[in-house]
Amino acid sequence: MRTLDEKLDHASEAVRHRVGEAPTRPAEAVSRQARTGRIVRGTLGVALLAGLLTVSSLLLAGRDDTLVATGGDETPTTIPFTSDQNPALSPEESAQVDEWLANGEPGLAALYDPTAIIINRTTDEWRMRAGLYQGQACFEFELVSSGPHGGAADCRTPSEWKVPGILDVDSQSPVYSRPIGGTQDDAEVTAYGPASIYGLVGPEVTAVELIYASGERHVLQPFGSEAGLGFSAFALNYDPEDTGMVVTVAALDATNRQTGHADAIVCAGFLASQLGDMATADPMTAAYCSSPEH
Amino acid sequence: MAIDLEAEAMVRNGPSFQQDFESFYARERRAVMGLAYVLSGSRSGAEDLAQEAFVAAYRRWEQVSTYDDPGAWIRRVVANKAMSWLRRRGAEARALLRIGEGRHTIAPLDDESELVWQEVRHLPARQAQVVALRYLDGQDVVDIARILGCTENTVRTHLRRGRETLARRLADKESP
Repeated sequence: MRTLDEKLDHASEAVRHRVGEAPTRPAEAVSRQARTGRIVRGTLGVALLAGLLTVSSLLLAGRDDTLVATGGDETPTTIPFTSDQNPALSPEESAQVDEWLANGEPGLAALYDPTAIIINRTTDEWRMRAGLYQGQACFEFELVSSGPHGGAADCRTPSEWKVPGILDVDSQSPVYSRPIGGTQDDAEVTAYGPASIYGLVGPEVTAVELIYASGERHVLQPFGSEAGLGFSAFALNYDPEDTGMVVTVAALDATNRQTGHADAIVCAGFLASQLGDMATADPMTAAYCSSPEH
Repeated sequence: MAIDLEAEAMVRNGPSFQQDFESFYARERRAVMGLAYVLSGSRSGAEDLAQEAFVAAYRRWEQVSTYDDPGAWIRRVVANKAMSWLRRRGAEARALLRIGEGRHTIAPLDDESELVWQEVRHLPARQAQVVALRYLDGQDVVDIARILGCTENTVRTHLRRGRETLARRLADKESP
């Protein structure tokens, strides 16, 4: 019988052997991913709109955290907030958050998140945080489990910031989030299967109207603005009968009209409630936010 | 947040930058991928995790390349990313249902090795990282401490506890 060291050595050698056999991606793949992610800003949304990307390519693209913003041109889209305006972060703290994120330690970064908004769902609670990272609005979603290890313990589990544009998958559901930047007053979100539409709106927005493809409209109030960041969140469970329905998210002002404010909707996306439902949606199960030309 | 894409591209396309990075990539790629694999348990995701880490390095290469040991930095990044991946493994499995099984780039391990790494992944995250760095990557306690940003005593403690747990659990699995 092998000793523990022998078992670990054998298992290590097996891994080295398998990895050594695996096909090698050239270094150019890394540099291309790093470079093109920035350059293709603004075009990805259009590609998604056309349904040209498959799920697998979307998954790969979504992991490219250079896809931080969509826009109609090549200019990075940012929202008109800066860390200076974030009451929770000093410049030193912002720098520290940058460092943590760069080092793959988002949980530490999340500790500096100034807001925590709980969304009650039918059976679970989703904790949504909204914050800023490099001047851009970030989301993170975290399932507060009702299981035996749920509750406070899971609340403390670090989860990842969802920098707009990053496709990320948490322990329960895929989270597809794309920014639409701070330059428009409505957005389109395509949801496949039961989902929660969510997003952030600017401080002047008093209501959000979801306009379904069927013409049905639903107005809801953003919440959480008292949390101190100046923008608030909205979320609504949505269960389209057909897959691939487009929902227009419009920001309304105090007169219940579409605001026309430039920074009305910061970002929006959808959170699938059941991946099983998504699995039947082909070819594209993601949501996106439209780019400004819409 | 204005970014001068052209200027940045000029720097990154420079021969020195590229050669330097490519040399680093060639030197570290397999070790990083191996770590990603054993810590995430994902044959389909290990390559992507490794690439994510290298992309992070590439973007900060002007800074990372000045570190005493860029290899330690990228091991730390991939170890953290792999643990995040592990927390999301259920979703990954379901995602594979959609995108098919064709993305595996690493052949499966023999049963005994697979069992060992499964048990490593069941250890607390830091213990798993220490064990993987020690055995798979061949790092000593001093280097592991530097990679993970903790003290050597902490590494020794994690290693000891991890080994104790592994020995017990593997023995249990072997018991008839």
